This record gives sequence, structure tokens and C-alpha cells, in this order.
Amino acid sequence: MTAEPRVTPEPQILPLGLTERAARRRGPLVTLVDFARQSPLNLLALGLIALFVFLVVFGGTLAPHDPIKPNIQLKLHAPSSTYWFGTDELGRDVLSRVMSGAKYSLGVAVIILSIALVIGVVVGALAGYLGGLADEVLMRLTDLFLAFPALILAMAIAAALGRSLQTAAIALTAVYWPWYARLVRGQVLALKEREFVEAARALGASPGRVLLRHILPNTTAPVIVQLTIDVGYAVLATAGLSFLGLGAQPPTPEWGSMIAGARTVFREAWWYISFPGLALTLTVVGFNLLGDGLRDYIDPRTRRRAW
Amino acid sequence: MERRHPEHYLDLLLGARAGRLTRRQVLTRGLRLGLSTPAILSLLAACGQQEEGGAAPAPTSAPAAGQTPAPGATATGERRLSDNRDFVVAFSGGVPDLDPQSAYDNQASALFLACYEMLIALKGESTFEYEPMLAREWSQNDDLTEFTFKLAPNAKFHDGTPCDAEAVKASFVRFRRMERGPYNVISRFVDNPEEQIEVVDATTLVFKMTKPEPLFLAAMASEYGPLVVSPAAMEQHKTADDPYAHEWFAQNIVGTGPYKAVEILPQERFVFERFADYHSEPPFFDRIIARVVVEDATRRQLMESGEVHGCAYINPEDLLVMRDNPALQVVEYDTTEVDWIRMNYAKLNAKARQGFAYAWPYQEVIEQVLRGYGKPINGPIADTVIGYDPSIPTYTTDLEKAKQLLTEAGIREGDTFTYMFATGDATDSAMAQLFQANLAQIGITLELQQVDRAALLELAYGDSPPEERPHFMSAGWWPDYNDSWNQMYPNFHSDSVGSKGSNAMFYQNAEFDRLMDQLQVAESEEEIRELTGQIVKILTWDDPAAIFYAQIKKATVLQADIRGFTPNGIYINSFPFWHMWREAT
Repeated sequence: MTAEPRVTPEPQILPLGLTERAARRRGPLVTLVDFARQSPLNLLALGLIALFVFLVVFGGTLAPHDPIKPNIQLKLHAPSSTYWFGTDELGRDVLSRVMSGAKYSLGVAVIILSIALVIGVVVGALAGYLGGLADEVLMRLTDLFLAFPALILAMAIAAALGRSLQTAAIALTAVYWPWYARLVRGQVLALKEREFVEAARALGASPGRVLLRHILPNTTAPVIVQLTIDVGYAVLATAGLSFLGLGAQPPTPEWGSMIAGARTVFREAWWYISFPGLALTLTVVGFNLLGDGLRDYIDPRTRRRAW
Repeated sequence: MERRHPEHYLDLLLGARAGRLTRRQVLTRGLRLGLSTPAILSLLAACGQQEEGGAAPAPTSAPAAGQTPAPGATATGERRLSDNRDFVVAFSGGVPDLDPQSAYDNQASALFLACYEMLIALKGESTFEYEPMLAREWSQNDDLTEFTFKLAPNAKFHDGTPCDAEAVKASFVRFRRMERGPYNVISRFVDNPEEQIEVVDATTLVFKMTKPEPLFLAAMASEYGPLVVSPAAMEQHKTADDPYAHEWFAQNIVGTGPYKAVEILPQERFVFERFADYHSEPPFFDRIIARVVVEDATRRQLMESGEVHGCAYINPEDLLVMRDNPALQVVEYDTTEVDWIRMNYAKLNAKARQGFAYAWPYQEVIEQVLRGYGKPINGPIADTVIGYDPSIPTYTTDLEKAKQLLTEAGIREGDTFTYMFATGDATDSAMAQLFQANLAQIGITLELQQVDRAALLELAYGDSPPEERPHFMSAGWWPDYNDSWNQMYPNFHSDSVGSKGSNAMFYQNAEFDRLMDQLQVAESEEEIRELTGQIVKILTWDDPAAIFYAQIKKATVLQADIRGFTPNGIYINSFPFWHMWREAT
């Protein structure tokens, strides 16, 4: 039995012209520092994301007050030394709710995209690699989902399944996976005719092995960039559904539902709508900057000197 | 620091769309512009608040708050009429059914008072004194079995046809026979309209009862149902499938009221112009414009900017602020409305319903959610309605007692119940969360479900079985006329379950039904009071139908120069357009 020779992937996706082996030797920390040094915006993006990931993990534990239990006597108190972000219409601490809400807004978005990614990659890879009838069937199915405006489709699914954060997540997963299927299929179609894939095939690699070991690893760069940017949009979409009453239900401190609750009193209590709104804005900006920075970082054509 | 201009945003947008800017450039510039936006908005909001509460100059065109004349009075004792003859009123939702003998909704009835007329109307703030409307005079015999109405001799419908006694009779026959919406307002008194309504001459009409009816005049002054529509229009537009032309009247207006519809956009606005052939004194305003403004915050903003002149749909939180605005007058009044939380009769036994009634946060809701626009009540009958019995005790929050009763009812810690409310209803959402917190303290989980208002109404008034309905839903109700039977029958009688009325949680108690049937034919105030007391005790204590948490106090907000508005506890949220005028400032 002949051992399959290793086929080196295309070098163009590697950062800063390093060989794959060299890049691996540098370790993730060095790569992260290098990425951060590329641009102040990259550093800002990493900082914002680190902050919100920290809140996802520890926000609920570190919240200074109970984010759920009403204390109606403290209703709509302005920011003070005790309640830094003020209180809401039921006297709950807005800071505690913003901190606890990270895991609902951002955490759910990450779960949505993880599932969408798995479905999209499987469908896209199979369609692109198998071609023919399989490609036709899978892509028409994908087109079916893409034919509807994303938010309308998500609203319809969420309304049909019942209103909760779980059903909102299912609805948004249904909205996002086709985009990854399209992206991965395009990449697979381009890569499957490349010489290194031909070589692997000629050397007797099975179709599964060719797909998993030689093609899919080379699709990661654009997928990661897309994924990073989509996190921001998924956070917005989750908040949007909750704002419309189709996602998180009271008293869940999801940012979108907090903004919905605050809009009737925003003229008397500016803090109530501002802080969840700010958290939402910073999260989206952070992930958009990260996605943009990543694209520049891994694309040699837009590579720049470190600052 | 670089100054921000709107054109920067536009450049950014156009640049991004035209592809002149890279994504990074868009983000970089957007970050500079966008991140400052929330901060600027917050600062503006904070500054705005300071201005409102601080040294805002009093408007020169309106009297100061302390000198605001009482509704209906003038500041100087004489009428100085304004040249501005438009009155713009804001509604919170559309009016899809414009047939006054079918629509059973509050905003529709408020609209109808501009263009349709009853025979008589409630006078001022009274719920048992009347003033002329289509009828100039009225009388009844001693035993209250015959009621005679003398109509205005020159009354005409908006289509030009005369409104004589035959036309009025035809309209009431339609109301009774069509059997839609509020038809119990007539069917309680008139079962056979062709026989019981007699035309004496062109302007005289007699209603003959089969027994003494002390409440008939009150029913005739209701804004729900007994409004007179044009029989000529009905004849012209009826079809074989629709003999009363309901479909046509649902989209068109032909009444005798002081205003004639000139634009009807049911989900946007209605424009009425003064009806030249109106039979009585012409009203002050040339035009009444009703705008549909769904958002609470927008309605308040339109009132404060002066674009809207009257609104009855302002939430309590905003009312507290608007009370201090000298450019506005907030007219507060006691009503006959009681609000309650319906409890699912099929899913919860009597002990469980008693237990939940003890778990409700009564004081917190009245003080902090309703902000004082409500007071405790001991059942579905307000203290302004005939039959109110003050001797019936009122529930107060007692979680120990609640837990004991719920345990006796077989409910264990960890059991989950559902409370459904309309998306965007801030008051209901706040109440539900306070209830949820109370129940959590005794180990009961309350799951809150938001649904669209239309879906909620469909569920409440549709035919889905009680098993498919939540455990709790909120409701509010006031009688069509001052009468306890009329308040309770649609909500709790077994004849009114599902789509047959408003008994949305399928309350069915044989003793209650029996007493209600007696109350329906009660002939004296003493009998009404006695029976109502017994019935309310069943509804609140023996076999609770709902958590009765407040009798509602309402407020209508008007521009400070509006005169002639008198609130009425039965005509809730409505406007007596024909009495209203604007003072010159």
C-alpha cells in the first residue's frame, strides 16, 4: 500500500508571506500580536471582542445586582454611584442587565453561526464537489431560502414556531446557512480543478479524503472572514427579532428586548435605551472591524506594514 | 474637532454604495461618525429633560398651568373664537369596521361621534342624564314600558335623504336583525323591532317594551350600536348575501352627524368636513381629522409639538410629564372601566384561581405601573356603576395565603404557567413581570409570551378551545351604558364563551348564569344592587373568574386653547366634537 504524499496547499492565504510551517511555529499568540500591530483598528476590534467575550462568560456572575428581580421602588433612577447605568422601568439595574445580556445577544449569535456554518459547509462542499444533479438539487434548495428577504423569513419562521430565543435562533440559522453553502461551493468549484487536487486524485486519494484534506482546508480563509463579519449582523438580527417580540421574552435581559422596553420612556430615561444600544453598537463594530482586518491580514494584496 | 454635518453621512452612504470607498474606509469613517451618534442623542435627551423641568419659558399663547380654565369654561367668561377651525385627534390604531351597528371597539365609537348620532346622548359628566341628539324631545310612560322620541324635523343623512321616523325605525330594525357586535344593547329590550317600534308620524317614534325597562334610555344613549344609519344607502348597496349592506357600511359612512366623511383610510387617517345640512347648531370646527399613530412616543411628541390637538391614548408615564406642560391640558376623570387578568377556567380550579388572586401585586401595579391612574376595586363593577357593592372585600397581596391555596389546589413548586400579552404593551409587560416575580418567590414559574395584538384578539375572541389558551390574559372593560348586567354578561356568562362574546377564558358557573338571568329582568335599583352583590361575590371569591386589579382613571390630553370638552365615564376616550371649540389666543 502506497502512502499518500503530502500536497502543500496554496501559499497565498498565509499571513505576511510566511510558509505554513513557519506560521505554525509562531503560535497563535504571536500571530494575534502581529495582527493587532497591523492597524489600530485591529487592536480596537480585539479589545472590544475580548471585552464582550469576557461578558458572555462572566457577565452574569460579575453583575453587581440581580438582573431579573424587579425592585419597582427604584423605577427609572438616573445613573448614580450605586447604579452606574441607572435602572429600568421595573427598577432593575441596567448595567447588570447589559452585562448579563451579552450571553443572550452575542452567545446566541455565535451558536446560530456555528450551526449555520456546519450546514452550509456540508451542503456547499457536497454540491461543489459532486456537481451534476446533486449540485442542482442542493443549490435550488439554497436558492429557495435565499429568495426571501432574510429578516422577513426569520420573522415568519419565528412566528410560526412560537416566540422564544430558541426559535429565533432556529429562524436565523435557517437564514444564514445558505450564504455559507454558496460561499463554500464557489471555493470548492475553483479548487477542485487545481493542480494539487489533481495530484492528490492521481495518487489515489479517495474523494472524501480529497475533499476533507485538500479542498476544505483551503476554503477556511474566506469563510472565517465572512463568519467574523456575520457575527455582528447575527447579533443585530437576534436583537431585531427580540425587539419585535419574536425572540427573547421578558424578563430575559437580551439587548434587543431591553431597547424595545426602553423606547416608550426614552425621553425621561435616556440611560435605559442608550446603554444596551451602545453595547449592541460596539459589538457589531468590533466584529466588523475584526472581519475587515482579518481579510486584509490574510490577503497579501492588501497587506500593510505594521504600525 | 471636526464638525459633523449631515452631508458627511450622505457622502459616506453614497461612497459606499458607489464602491468609491472600501469597506474599511466605510467602517473607519462610520466609526468616527456613528459612535458619536448615541452619545449626541443621549446628551440631547438629557438636555431636553433639563429644559422641560427647568427654565422653559411659558408659552405666551396659553394660560399658565394654574390658570387653565376648567373643561367647558372659558378663561374670560366670553367666547373669543379662534380662526383655526381644524381639530386633529390621534388614535392608537386603525378602525377596520366602520359599521356603527357592528363595530364593538372603542376607537370606532370615538370616531362615530363625529359622523353618526344616537337618539339621545349622555349630558356632560352624568351617566343618567341626557341631552338631545337626533331626538329633540323624549318621554316615557309611568311604568316604563313605552318610550316616545320626537325627532328633529329637518334631519338629513349625508346622502341627502331625509331622516324621518321611518328611517330611524329601519335603522333600528337593521341593528336588531343584523345581530352583530353590540346588538345586545337593543336585543335586551327589543326582540321584535318590526312590532315594538311604532311610527306615529314623520317625526315621532314609540318604542314599546314587554315589561318595565328602567335602563332603556341609558341604552339608547350608548355609543355602541344605537346609532342611526341611512336606510337608503342600505337599500342601494345590499346584496343577496349581505341584506343589510354591512360590507358597504364597513367601509363607508352615511349618518346624520355634524361631520361628513371626505377621506377614509382606515389604517392611516379619517378626514371629516362640517355637514352643511346638519339639523342642529353648526359645530365650531370645520374639519375633524383623525390620525392613526401607533407609537406611544410619537403620539406624545405630536401633542407636544401642537400638530395634534387631542389624544385619549397617552400612557400613564407620559401623562405625568405632560401634566406639567402649560401648553397642554390633561383632563382626568373617573370611569366605569375595570381592568382584570382573565384566568383560564378550564385549566385552573377555584382554589388555584383564588391563590393566584392573592399573588397579584396590587399596590405595586396601581402605584408604579398605572402611576395612580387606577384604584383598588373589589370586582368587575366600578364604584360609578349601578349595583356596586362596597361590602364585598378586596384582595390584597398575600404570598403566604397564595402558596397555601395553590398547594391545596394541587400545584407544586416548579409548575409552569403562561401569561400572554400584546407585543409593545409596556403596561401589560410590566404588570406581568411583577406578577412573575411574586410567583417566583413561592416557587411558581410564570412564562411570559408576547404576541401581536391582532393575534391576541383573535385568540381571545376566536373559537380555539380553552386548552389551547394561556393561563392568564389581561382585559379591561366598561359597560355600554351604566348597568352591571351589561358589564358582566359579555365577559362571564356561559352564553358568551369564545367567539360568542368576550368570555375568553370559558368561565362557566351555573349559579352565576342563573343570577345573571334574574339581573337582566330586574325592575328596581334595589333589586339590581342586591343581585349584583351576590354575583360579584361569586366572580371574585367563591369561584373567581379573574384577578380584578383596578378601577381605571382616564385622562384625555388637549391643547390648552381647546374648550367645551367634558369627559364622561361611559364615553371613555371619546370627544363631544359638537360641543368643542378653540379659544383665540
